[in-house]
Amino acid sequence: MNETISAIKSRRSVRRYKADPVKKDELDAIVEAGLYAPSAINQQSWHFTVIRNKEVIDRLSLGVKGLLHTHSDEHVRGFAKMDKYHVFYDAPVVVLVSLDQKALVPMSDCSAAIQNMLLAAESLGIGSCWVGMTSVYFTDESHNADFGIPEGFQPRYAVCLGYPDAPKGKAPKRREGTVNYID
Amino acid sequence: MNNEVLKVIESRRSVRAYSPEGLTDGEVEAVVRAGLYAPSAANQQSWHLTVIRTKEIIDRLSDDIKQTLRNSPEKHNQTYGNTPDFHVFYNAPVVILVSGQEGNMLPMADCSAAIQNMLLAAESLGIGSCWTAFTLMHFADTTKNAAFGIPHTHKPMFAVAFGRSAKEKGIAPKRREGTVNYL
Repeated sequence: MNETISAIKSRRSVRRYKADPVKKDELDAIVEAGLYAPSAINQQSWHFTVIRNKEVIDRLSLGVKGLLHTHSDEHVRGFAKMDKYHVFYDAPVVVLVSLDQKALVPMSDCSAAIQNMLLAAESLGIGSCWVGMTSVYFTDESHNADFGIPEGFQPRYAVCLGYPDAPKGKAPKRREGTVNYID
Repeated sequence: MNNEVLKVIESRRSVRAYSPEGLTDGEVEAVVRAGLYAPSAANQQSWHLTVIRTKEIIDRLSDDIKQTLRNSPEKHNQTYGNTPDFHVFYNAPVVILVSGQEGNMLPMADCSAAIQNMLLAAESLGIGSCWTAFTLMHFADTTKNAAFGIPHTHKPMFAVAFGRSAKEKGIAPKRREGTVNYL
């Protein structure tokens, strides 16, 4: 198994982080990896807002929690009631990922970019967690200016990054019957 | 800051010219497994992968997609459909269809993450790939699923061509500027 396949297999979502900031050259490498994702007709339809300010992160967590009751999924709505729940698990860095709404398949492009970032982080011993519920806070453009989001882009996902503070768990079981072969 | 994984992420390019030589079972399996180890919203693992290794089936699918492209109202798509020697999968020996479970939280994001894992696993093994989204148009609903052994619960979304590149690797297209801001 080579290092890439090993990183793919060993990556887990991390939900406990040390307070230490992520080193600049490691963070730069992770962001750069995101930028090198493929994209439909090379539109590169992403925008990343890298947040290293604890107050901004905490305030965003509260803002998202305040709107979780509007989420379509019952499981996610349940998080709104948990007092101690922090949307970004107190990670020292949060990368907000915004989609160019005019692009062909921006959700796809940005998901590929996020996956690159998760694997880059894994290769550097940095934990990560892809958060999807941030979308509830950005359904209109009212908060965009606070985050420096460019015109026409909608923030959707967030990637928590930081040094893990707990041992790595095992992967949840893979669903069965998800592959068929036509020979 | 560099390591094997970061190198693979940055060196990956879309490959559009393939050697007819097939991939080994081991290589296909490694690529498929990498896809299955993607993260997914609420661990729903929304993907279903259909691995096609028969030239006649791949060629027929390319022809059928080109027919759909010819009927598209968009000139850009019509051009592809009308170009005689355009092959949707660039004559690659292996094509993997990726379908997402309808009604799940984020099936397109899950599938895109799985694809990105497959592209990187392939790259790490010296295998080229090319992600196509023409399938979104061609498989507009689940009526063609049975022919490909895809469960009716899943909507085919993307297709990825895999094989050994017949050409020298190109340089990455320039990265868009102004795609990252810091708070």
